[in-house]
Amino acid sequence: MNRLDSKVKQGSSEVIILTLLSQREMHGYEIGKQIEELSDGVLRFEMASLYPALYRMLQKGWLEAYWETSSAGRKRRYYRLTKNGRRQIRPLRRSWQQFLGALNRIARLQNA
Amino acid sequence: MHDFRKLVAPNRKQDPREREIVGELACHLEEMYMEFRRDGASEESAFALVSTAGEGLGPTIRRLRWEGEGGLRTWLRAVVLPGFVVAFFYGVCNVALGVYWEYPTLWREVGLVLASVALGFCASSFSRELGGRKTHRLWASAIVLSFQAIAECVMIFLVTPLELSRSAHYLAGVVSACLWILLWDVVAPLVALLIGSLISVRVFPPVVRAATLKGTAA
Repeated sequence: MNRLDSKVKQGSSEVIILTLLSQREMHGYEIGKQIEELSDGVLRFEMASLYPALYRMLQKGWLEAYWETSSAGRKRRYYRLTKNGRRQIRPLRRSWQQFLGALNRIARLQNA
Repeated sequence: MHDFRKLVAPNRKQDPREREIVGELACHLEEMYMEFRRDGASEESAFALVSTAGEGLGPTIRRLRWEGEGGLRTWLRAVVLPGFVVAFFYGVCNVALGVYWEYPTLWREVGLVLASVALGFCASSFSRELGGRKTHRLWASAIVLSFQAIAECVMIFLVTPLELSRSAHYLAGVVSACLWILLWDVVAPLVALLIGSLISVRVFPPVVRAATLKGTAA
C-alpha cells in the first residue's frame, strides 16, 4: 500500500464538508448542524474549527461562497462546491478508506 | 433583535474584509440563538448561551483573515517579520559575546550556539502566533541568520578570493580559516536555530483544525 499522505489527518474536515456540500448548498451553521446530526453527536465542529476549514477550502478553490437573503429577510453566506472541489471528493474518500482500513487491521476496531 | 456583530467583535475597527467575516460569524450566532429559542429557552437564557459561544472569537477572526491572504503576505507576516525581529536580538547576542570574549574561543562559539537554539525557539513560536505553519516556522528561524550569513558569504566568496588573487602565498591558511568561519559562524548557528525551531514545534504544535470529538475541548 502507498504511504498514506500525512495531510489525511488534517483532511477529516475537508472530506466531511465536501461530501455534505455535494448534496446541496448550505451556510456555515447548517454545515455544523448537519455534521453533528449525521454523526449522532459524536463529531462537533466549533466555530473556531469550522470556519477556518471553510475559508481554507475557499482559498484552495474547492468551494465558492455567496450571500443570500432569505424570505424572512436574513442574510446568510452560502457555500457550494466548485468543479475542482467535486474532483477532490473521490481521492479524499479513498485516502480515508485506506487510513481506516489500516487502523482497523492494527487496532481491530471491529472487535472492540 | 440582539446585535450579534457586537458579540463577535466588540470595539473593533473593521475593514471590509473583516466586516464580512464578522457578519458571517454573527449570522452563525443568530442561527444558534434562534434554535435555542425554538427549543423553548427564554430570550435571556438563549442570549446568555450564545454569548458564551461567541466569547473569545478574536483569534478566529485573525485566522480567517489570514486564510484569505495570498502566499506572499503570509510569508511576510509569518516568516520575514518574526525572522527579522529575532535577527536583531541575534545581532545583539553576537556583539555581546564578541565583547566578552574578544578572541574566538570554544566558549564563545558554544555560547552562540546555545543562544541560537533559544532564538530559533523564539522565532518559531513568534511565527506560530502570527499564523505560521511548520514550514513557515522553520524558515522564520533560518532567516534569523540571514544578515550574518550574507556578510560572511560575501567576505568568504568575494573579498577573500580578491585578496588571494594579489598574493597566493597564504592560500592554504586562508582557505582553512574561511571554512572554519563558515562552519562556526554560519553552519553551526543555522543548525542550532533549526533545532530551536523544532523544539518549539514539538512544545507548541500547530493548531489542530479537525473536528473535535464530543466531550473534548474545542
